[in-house]
Amino acid sequence: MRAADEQDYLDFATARAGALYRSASLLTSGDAYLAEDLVQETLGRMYAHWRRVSAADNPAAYAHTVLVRVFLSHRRRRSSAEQPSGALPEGVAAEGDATLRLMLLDALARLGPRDRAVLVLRYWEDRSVEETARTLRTSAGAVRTQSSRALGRLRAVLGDSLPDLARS
Amino acid sequence: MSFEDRFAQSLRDTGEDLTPNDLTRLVNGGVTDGRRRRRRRNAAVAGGSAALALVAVGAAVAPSMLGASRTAHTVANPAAGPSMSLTAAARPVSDAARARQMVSTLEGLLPKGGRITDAVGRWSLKVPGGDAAFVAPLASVVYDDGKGASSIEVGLDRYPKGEAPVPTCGSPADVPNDVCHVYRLPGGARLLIDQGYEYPSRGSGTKDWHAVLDLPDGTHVEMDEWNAPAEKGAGVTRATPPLSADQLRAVVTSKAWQPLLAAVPTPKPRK
Repeated sequence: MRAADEQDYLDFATARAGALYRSASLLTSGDAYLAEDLVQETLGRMYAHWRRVSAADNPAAYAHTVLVRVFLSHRRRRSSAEQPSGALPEGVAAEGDATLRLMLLDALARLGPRDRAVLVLRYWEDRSVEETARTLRTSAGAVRTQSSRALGRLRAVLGDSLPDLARS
Repeated sequence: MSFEDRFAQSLRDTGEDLTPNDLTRLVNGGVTDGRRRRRRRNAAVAGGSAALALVAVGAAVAPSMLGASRTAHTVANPAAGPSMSLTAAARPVSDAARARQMVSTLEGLLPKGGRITDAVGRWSLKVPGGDAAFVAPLASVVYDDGKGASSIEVGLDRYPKGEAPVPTCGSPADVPNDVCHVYRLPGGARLLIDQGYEYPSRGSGTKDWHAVLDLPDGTHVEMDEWNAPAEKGAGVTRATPPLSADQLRAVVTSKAWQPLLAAVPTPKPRK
């Protein structure tokens, strides 16, 4: 890669790595090592095709799409014995409500990877149903069904324990 | 507040608290991963714009069979492996035939007595939905010398003259490796031998030993061997990959690759 392209890439990667890591951590329900691997692989894919990626309309959104697909393909490759634990990874920021975080990550860990991906795309990345469907290469109807089913499962696990944090 | 709203809010609060320990390490790991991908011209982009990306590349590569007229390179310490014919093809050879040659060439250069499975050869990548292809030769096998199966890959590349990435050992702080050297070979070739890791940022886990032969005309022979039967997602089967540094060097510097290198078309120089 030419020096100027590489600098562009480094600026992009540095600006996006944190957000990609947060999404990856939610997708892996708190497996910090796997989240790092997924982000590195995603950034590696961006690097390998940087000149074309950088010409895309929205390289950042594209990176998040790649991340989700890397995650799903990774889950397919791994054995079922390696389910993420949902345990609080060491070293993450100690700020915030640790109990809520643990509870939520634990509940997410009980879902299948695709269910988690749907919820992360819809509720963390604020993607529309249509965008989520495109990312997961499925239909909008399937996304709606999967989304409501996954929410139902979470509700069965979490009950009323999520705080009502309505902010005005 | 509905459950859905409470979940969305909790997810946002949780996600915002999850920060990477070391952003620089993540970015450096991404660059290292990307360089490896580039080397292999592995176009398995898990994204919707893969087709777009391939179209852009495919269009830039004219199918050109170079061949007999290309001068052979002098490579120091050619492989101790079997001698292979250096006769370049006089007539166009199909991509499928070239893919088979990639595999048979690699198989012929691996230490005798091992068991070879899962052999996959590739000469070019098809553009989805189109008929153009770009040349990205790769041979991939699982090799077992009796001490544990390991994945081995060799890729060939040709860069416009002067644009090939110079093989360098990364900074040990960013890219931990056990041993990494770049050798200057007679005739201007350079050889990198990097005995590092699959996830370089971690410096542990699956090992990825890597060799790059950088020839003065912009061609590269690049090889990776792992101490696991698959690049990612498979358990380690042995302490180290099967071929020693000397054996890696012997494979990548073998003259057996020359007819295939000669058939890799020259990409257009970058503007």
